[in-house]
Amino acid sequence: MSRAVAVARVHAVDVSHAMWPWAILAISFVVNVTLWVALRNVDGFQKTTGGLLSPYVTAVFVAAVSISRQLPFMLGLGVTRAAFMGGSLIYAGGCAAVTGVVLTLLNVVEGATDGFGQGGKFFRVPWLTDVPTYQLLAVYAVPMLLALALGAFTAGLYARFGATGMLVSSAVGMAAVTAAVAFVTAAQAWGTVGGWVVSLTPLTLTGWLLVAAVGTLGVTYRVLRRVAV
Amino acid sequence: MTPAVRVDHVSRRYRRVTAVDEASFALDEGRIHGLLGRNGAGKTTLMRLVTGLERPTSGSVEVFGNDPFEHEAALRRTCFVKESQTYPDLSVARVLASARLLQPAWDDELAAALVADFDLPLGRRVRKLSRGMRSALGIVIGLASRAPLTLFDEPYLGLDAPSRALFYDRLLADFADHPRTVVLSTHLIDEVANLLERVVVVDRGRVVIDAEADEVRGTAYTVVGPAGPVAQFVGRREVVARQDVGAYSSATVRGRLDASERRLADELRLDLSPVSLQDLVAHATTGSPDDARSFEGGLR
Repeated sequence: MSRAVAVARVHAVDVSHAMWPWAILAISFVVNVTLWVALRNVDGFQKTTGGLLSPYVTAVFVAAVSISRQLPFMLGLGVTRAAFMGGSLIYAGGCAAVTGVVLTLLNVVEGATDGFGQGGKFFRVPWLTDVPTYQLLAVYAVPMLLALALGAFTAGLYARFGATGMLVSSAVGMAAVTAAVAFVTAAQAWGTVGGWVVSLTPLTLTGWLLVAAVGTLGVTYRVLRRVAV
Repeated sequence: MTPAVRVDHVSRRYRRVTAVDEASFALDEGRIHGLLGRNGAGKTTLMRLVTGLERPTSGSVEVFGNDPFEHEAALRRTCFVKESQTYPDLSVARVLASARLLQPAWDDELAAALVADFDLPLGRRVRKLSRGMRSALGIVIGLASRAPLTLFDEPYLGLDAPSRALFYDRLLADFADHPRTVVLSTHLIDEVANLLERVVVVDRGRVVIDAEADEVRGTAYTVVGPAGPVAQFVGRREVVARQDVGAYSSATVRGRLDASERRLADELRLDLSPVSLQDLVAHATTGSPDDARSFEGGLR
């Protein structure tokens, strides 16, 4: 058995941590549906919500905690950093795929029942999910892969450089964003940027998120390659 | 025979600290080795270098003939149980199931027997275990892995004496049936003295003793009796430690006892006793680096 597959199987030994994003999603869903029902007679009440974002945000934290505990454990048991990275990617890919399938199903159910009989939109996000059903899989799955990659990146950064490293890198990140904004302003290019944003389709946006996820994973591997735990 | 581990002129420096300084030694396959020394001597760093968790600043490390850093074939044959091992937040049973997936020579029966011996609650989450129980879990993983190279770094933190005895007992029993290369880093030297076949003693990052355990044991003895006769016996012999209590004196003398010395001690009515491995290591690691080197010279 390949070591990477063994690593993926170790991640899957207990999937209860992978349930956290779903638990948060369920709570958010129940709260939203309750509001829809309670406020059904209020004029102008928008039955849309950002609740769908919650499992993705939760996944960043779950991945960070899980990776930072599994890394020293598995490295002590003779796993290479490369195998750890490969196996974690297999597992994260599986989690993202499951997310894609489950959310697509829920999207279809929501559409078929007219928002669970309340006319609300929880799994359907205006613009983003206005795509053919088969594209929904990617629209839901890719952001999950990005979330897990960001979590792994955070854990890797902490394992390699400690709290100081985290502080420095977030400062560098902020500086980079500020520099980019200043650059676009100086070049009077906001029109171009705006045009680019408007030209995005849900699928091309998903493509860019995939690029971001792959980039994050690449940087994470570079960080982990020399980590001492 | 290729040694299981070869450490060749290895140094590991962190900014201002030199944790390992030009260390060289080799560990044979199929034997139990003691990596001994005081706190902060560099034992853990050496083990981390051997298991590829870190790279040396200079020099080379080989495990089964390969640089262990990111070397899959070498690393899958190693298991490193650390003093303060981080575990995933799972139940004991699931941590064991995880270790089983990563250790090709894992033995379920042995794991189950050890879990029973140490009375480990399989259903309890690792973070709810007491310190001693967590150490016991590390020991179960280290033994049941049956990894060709198994390293234990002070594996018994918080473990009571009977449990430690149990560990030594089970280690020896399983080792007899399944010989492998074991490295035991510890400062409870007296407890493990009888287990060790070879010892590597480090002091301030340097290897000060690298010898067969039996060889080390005979390199000094203690002579006890009235101060006068003790002084007479000691004569020009090299004394490593001396203690005077009233009219009585106790001197630790470097060297091997021969028949004439025994006779002389008998005539002077002095007691002779061997020096424990622990005391020998203490003598080798408390003096200046030069003392330590001359001690090693005395072994050769």
